[in-house]
Amino acid sequence: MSFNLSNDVFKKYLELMKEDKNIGNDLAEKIYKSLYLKNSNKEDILNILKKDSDNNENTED
Amino acid sequence: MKIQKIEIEKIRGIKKITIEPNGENIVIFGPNGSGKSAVIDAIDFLLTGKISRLEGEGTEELSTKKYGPHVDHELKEAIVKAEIKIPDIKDNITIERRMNNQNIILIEEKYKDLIVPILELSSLGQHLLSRREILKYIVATAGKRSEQIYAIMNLADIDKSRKILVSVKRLAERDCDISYSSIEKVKTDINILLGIKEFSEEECLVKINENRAILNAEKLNKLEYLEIKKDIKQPTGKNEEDVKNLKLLKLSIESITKILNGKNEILKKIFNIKEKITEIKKNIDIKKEIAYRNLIELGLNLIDDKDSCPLCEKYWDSQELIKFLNKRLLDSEERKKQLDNIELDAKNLIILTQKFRDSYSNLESNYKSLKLGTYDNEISAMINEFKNFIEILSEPIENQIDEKIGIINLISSNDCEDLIEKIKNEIIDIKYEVSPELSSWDILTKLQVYLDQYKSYIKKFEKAEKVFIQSKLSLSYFENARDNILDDMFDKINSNFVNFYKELHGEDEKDFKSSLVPDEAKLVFDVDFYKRGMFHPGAVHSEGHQDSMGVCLFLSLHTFLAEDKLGIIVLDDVVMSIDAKHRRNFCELLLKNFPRTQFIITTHDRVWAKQLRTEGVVKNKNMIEFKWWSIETGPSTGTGDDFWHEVEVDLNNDYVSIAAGKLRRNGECFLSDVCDLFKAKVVFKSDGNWEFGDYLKASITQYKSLIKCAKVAANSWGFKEKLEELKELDKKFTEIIEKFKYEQWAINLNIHYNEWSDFQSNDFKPVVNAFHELFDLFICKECGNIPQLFLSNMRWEIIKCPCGSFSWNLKEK
Repeated sequence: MSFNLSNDVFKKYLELMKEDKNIGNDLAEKIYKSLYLKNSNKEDILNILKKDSDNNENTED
Repeated sequence: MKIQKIEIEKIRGIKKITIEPNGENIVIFGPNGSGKSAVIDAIDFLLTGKISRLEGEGTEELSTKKYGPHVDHELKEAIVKAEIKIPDIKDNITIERRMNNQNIILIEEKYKDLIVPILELSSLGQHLLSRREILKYIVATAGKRSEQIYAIMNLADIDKSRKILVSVKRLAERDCDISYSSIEKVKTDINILLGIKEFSEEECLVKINENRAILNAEKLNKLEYLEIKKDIKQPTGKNEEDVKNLKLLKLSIESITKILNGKNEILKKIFNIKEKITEIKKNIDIKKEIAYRNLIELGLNLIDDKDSCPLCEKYWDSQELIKFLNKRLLDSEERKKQLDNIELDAKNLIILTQKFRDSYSNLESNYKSLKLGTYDNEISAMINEFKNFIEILSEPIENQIDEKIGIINLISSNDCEDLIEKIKNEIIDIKYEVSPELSSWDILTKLQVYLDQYKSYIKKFEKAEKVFIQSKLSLSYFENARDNILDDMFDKINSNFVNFYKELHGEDEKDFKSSLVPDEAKLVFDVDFYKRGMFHPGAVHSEGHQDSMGVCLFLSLHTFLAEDKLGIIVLDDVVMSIDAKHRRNFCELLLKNFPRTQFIITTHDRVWAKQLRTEGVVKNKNMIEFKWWSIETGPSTGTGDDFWHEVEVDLNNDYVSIAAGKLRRNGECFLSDVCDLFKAKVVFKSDGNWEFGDYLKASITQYKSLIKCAKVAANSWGFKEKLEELKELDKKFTEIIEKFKYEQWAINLNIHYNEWSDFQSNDFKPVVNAFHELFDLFICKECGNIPQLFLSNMRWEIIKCPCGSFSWNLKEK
């Protein structure tokens, strides 16, 4: 196990999210990058989820 | 990394000192105030750029910059410089830090990358365990421990990210709730409009088709809100609005009457809450209970090592206070669960009451549109009461217990029914002429608006629900990922901890177990207490056991994070509550589990320092004694080997009595160790006041016996080379004894060495040299330690030193 356990946790997190069809690759990547790499806050993450939901709706329409 | 040499200048109580451990373990011992901790501070500063005892919690007015330099010197004069060895690098590397530029470590450019992981681990405190910090992992609350250990493990961003995801989930849940409420509201409006009990699309379709039939329109097969009025023309008629409003008011009344039938359910819930509150109030004052819990939790976070209560500032042992408060929290856990239960009941009650409020609001709007005016105030008052009731129920439980109980009258009385009855009586005689066609047209028109809203709310809700589900999943995956990685880590840390603790306590704790489990924002650490169950480590174990748990947990964390990367541990006065037997086990633990780690140990306990030598943790030459301290000179030091040199200097200056005193004091100390490790028989004295001669006689007698036994054993095995070596040693031993004419003064040794101070310098020198040679025979030339005699079935088996270079087999073939 590497010393940077945070990195291990976030990698596993990304992997688990990607496996779930309710989230999917794109959204998983966005959440992961925003949370881990960009140090975003709760509003940023919520907006990512909402935006993804809007985009999906538009695609469905 | 290992420290080869360290030079400290103008740091804390040190003027200038150079220590050369040469990469080996050292122990610095001496009385309190002799300057030992200044060495620790200097190493701490070198590796982290700060002195941890002057930074952090409880040190508000202190700082490294202000109090780091020696009191008589300036910041720029305070310097620590060390030569260190890093694995796989042949040369010694010089590192240096100055207090006027404390964030910069001076090191040759080519070695900079090598020092980075060492400095990182040091910044997490992995290089140093002090008495002050030892218990922080042990007696902390689960939340505080989680913070501390997560900080040490560099996991603070994990906890931070989890908190963000928890907030995201809450926000998404709130959005979802708001959308759901809007749907429920419009469903209530539709129920009232159509006079149905429970909204369903099928039920709506039936009602739509009933109204379409009145308007001579064809039946619809499915609910398409845009087609509700398909192929229908608006009918004409008088008093349309009044007729419509009267109809709507009657529908409102019908709807409320239906809701009031379910009043028993709401009453049951209210009485249930009331009963629970009454029951709990029998035993406690809820306001006080919650305030008290909050106070305890706050207090626990404020306790530091100042041994005082953070509230009254009176004396309290910090650990005792933490134990006491944790117990109080545990005692009130059941009551907290009861109060949480009441909160949940209140939340359900709010949902039911909202239906009442919405229905009466609808009634109000329809009643007012008829401009009758008689009961406007009563309806408004009733709605306000519902609103107040909801507001009160939404408040934290401790703010509204009494009000909750008082307001039950509104629903338990017949006021609601009475008001409806009065309105019914008022409108009973009002007859507005309206054609059935117009009525159906109005219903369909309004329904179309409602269904449009309903569809839009459903869409919003579906989106909000999806976001909520994703937020729940993202939190749950994050916790899974964290647990997946960290459970493994905590299992390893816990397993190491248990092993270390068992090694330290031996048979006493052979069944010891513990659990270190992350639980949301907490890190729960429970330990076994002699098979009586699992307890908080501060609950039932003695201070000594808590000390050893602190050390073991630190070493376990260190093993996991840093052992091979850092290579050095500074133990500052840490095993003071552990008894001698367990300290021996502690030495074995260090030697066995940390063979590649350099330990720098300080203690004010000379016995512990000696024990570290006799157990082979430090060599004689690496025992550094801090004898005294003065502000002008700093610490006065000496090593285990120094006294021969000091005696020689004294003799050269003709200070015979001083030299004799040193030889005797140090000789007593050394020979008592020899007797201990050789298992020599010292003549018993009831006052326990053994002297130099007692130890010397026992040591020499035992040495003779051991070498004789070793020769016989070597001969029996046919180890000729070993036999020759032993014969040589025996010969040398006899010559040394002869030199200081031991045989002549052996009859009354104590008188003899008491007369040393009467010697002339030149007469005494041969005696000193003879003792020096004799003492050298008792130690290993390689590791500098005194060998230890081991028995098997009460018979001598072997005598050997920790490094194994001095090893005599004593068992015959």
